[in-house]
Amino acid sequence: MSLETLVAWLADAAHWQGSDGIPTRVTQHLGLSAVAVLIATAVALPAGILLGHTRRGAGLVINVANIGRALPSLAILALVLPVAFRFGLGLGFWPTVLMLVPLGIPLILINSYVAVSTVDQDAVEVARGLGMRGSEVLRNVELPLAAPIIVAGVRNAAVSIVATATLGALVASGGLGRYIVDGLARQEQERLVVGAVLVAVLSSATEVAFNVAERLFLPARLPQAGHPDARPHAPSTPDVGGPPPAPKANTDAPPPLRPGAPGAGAPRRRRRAGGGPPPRHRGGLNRRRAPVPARRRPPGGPGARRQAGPFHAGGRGPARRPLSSQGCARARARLIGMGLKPPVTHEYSRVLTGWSRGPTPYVPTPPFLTVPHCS
Amino acid sequence: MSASEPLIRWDWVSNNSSLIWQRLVEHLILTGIAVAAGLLISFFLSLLIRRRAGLYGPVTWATGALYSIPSLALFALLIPFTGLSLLTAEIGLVSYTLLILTRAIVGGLRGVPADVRETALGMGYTPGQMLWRVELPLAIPVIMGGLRVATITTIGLVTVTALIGQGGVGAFILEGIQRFFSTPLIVGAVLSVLLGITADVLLVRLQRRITPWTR
Repeated sequence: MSLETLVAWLADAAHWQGSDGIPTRVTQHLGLSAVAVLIATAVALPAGILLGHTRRGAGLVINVANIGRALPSLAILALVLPVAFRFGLGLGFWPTVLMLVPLGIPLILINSYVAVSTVDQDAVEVARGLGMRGSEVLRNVELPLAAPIIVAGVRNAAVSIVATATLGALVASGGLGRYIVDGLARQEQERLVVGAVLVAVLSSATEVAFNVAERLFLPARLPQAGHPDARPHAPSTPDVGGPPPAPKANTDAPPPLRPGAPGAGAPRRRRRAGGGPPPRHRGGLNRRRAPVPARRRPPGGPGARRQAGPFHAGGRGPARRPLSSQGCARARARLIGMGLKPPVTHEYSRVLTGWSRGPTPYVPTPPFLTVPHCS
Repeated sequence: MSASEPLIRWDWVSNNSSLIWQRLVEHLILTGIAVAAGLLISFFLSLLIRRRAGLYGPVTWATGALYSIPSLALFALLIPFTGLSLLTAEIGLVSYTLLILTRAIVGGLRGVPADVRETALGMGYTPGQMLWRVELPLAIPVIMGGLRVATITTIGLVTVTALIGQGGVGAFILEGIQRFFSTPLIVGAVLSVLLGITADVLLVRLQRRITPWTR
């Protein structure tokens, strides 16, 4: 095989149309992968989030993840095949999807569990102390803070699934694996190489697509939240972290950006280049602690985190009364300030969870963080 | 694979026990070579990174790129150059361990507390002595974590190398798929899973043994 024959193969119009054409195979490949990712997400995401929220079942999650890692896809395919046959699902599509789903579940499950359960306890504590119910804490505090890692889990799962869908060709499924398997069988190296390159490109494209979507749809982080003194007053936006006089009302508006900071949609790396003190918690072992607001503890009092009590038992308690405007300001500053801490910094858990393909994931400040019962 | 046929025919298993044994050994050898070579390469990469921290980004990027190439595709791409050989299989398998192991070793070394390092310096350790006697022992738990993941992943990937004529117990799976015969299919699948779990358990035991101070 030489480069010329490869180009000639690619230039051949016959390879671009029909049921074995490149567009058809790419579409099949993406279809298979999409169905598998959707099923895996539907199963693992709610489970991981709920377990992480209740902080129960760590053993279960770790075991599922470990067993999932120990299961080779080819073995799953082998085990699924007789079952699929018994249930009349036939060859091809469904056995492949059933092989891919167990591949994605552990990745999504462990990431969402770790993400939600390692959200800064202080932030959760403050939220509970403010009278948020469990579901409110989950929606307003835990999910926004955990989002990047949860998305990273889905992304890893999607990339693995797109890459592994290739194996489906062994059981007569469509997709780009056909080119590789047929190329091997027919000793047709052009076909094989084209298939291999296309799969590699497709799985990289999946990763890129997820990263782009993450930048577009996940909230950008707020550089100076929780550090009221460093930020000049911005009259047009709600005063999130400012000292008293305090904000007027709950607001769903996005938090103020530091003047001169790029817009929310700008690439996050740019932020580093901006003026002012460096953003906090860039990861690493000796990240700096920014100053925290003077009052360190929520109304629950110091050490109330693990105690059963009216504040923490069900999240309902005496705190369900309007806070003073000053209290609201402090609470917001505190909550948002807390949000800048990467939930897991330890390298070991990065190795175990595998969620950090790139540099330390950034953790955004929830822009829609509202403190209930603030007048 | 007709409905009347049992899922697993035990007579096939007993008739082929020597073949099964042989393929298991083959599987272990393929895994062993890959993990050992991967560990060696990653160790040198980590030493480089330790010397020049700026290399961490490029190295993780490169190994990450290798890691994200689908296994079947990587093997397929190597065939024109190295053919259906052990070398093809090992290149693929090793390249998948690099990201996991390098990250684990670097993470482990970086996790050594600075005051421990300073104390060692103050006691007169040379940098080489410090690496072998202080930093590496302290990094063992993290490194072993990476090694476990790498080993399990490799054991799973070895089955895929059956497609290029290697593959240990993966050959049973392939045979089962091609002949529509569920017995070797299940034998291969179960054996590879058992192998992965056994290796993991053994590595945990090994770690306990060599890090008595963590108990």
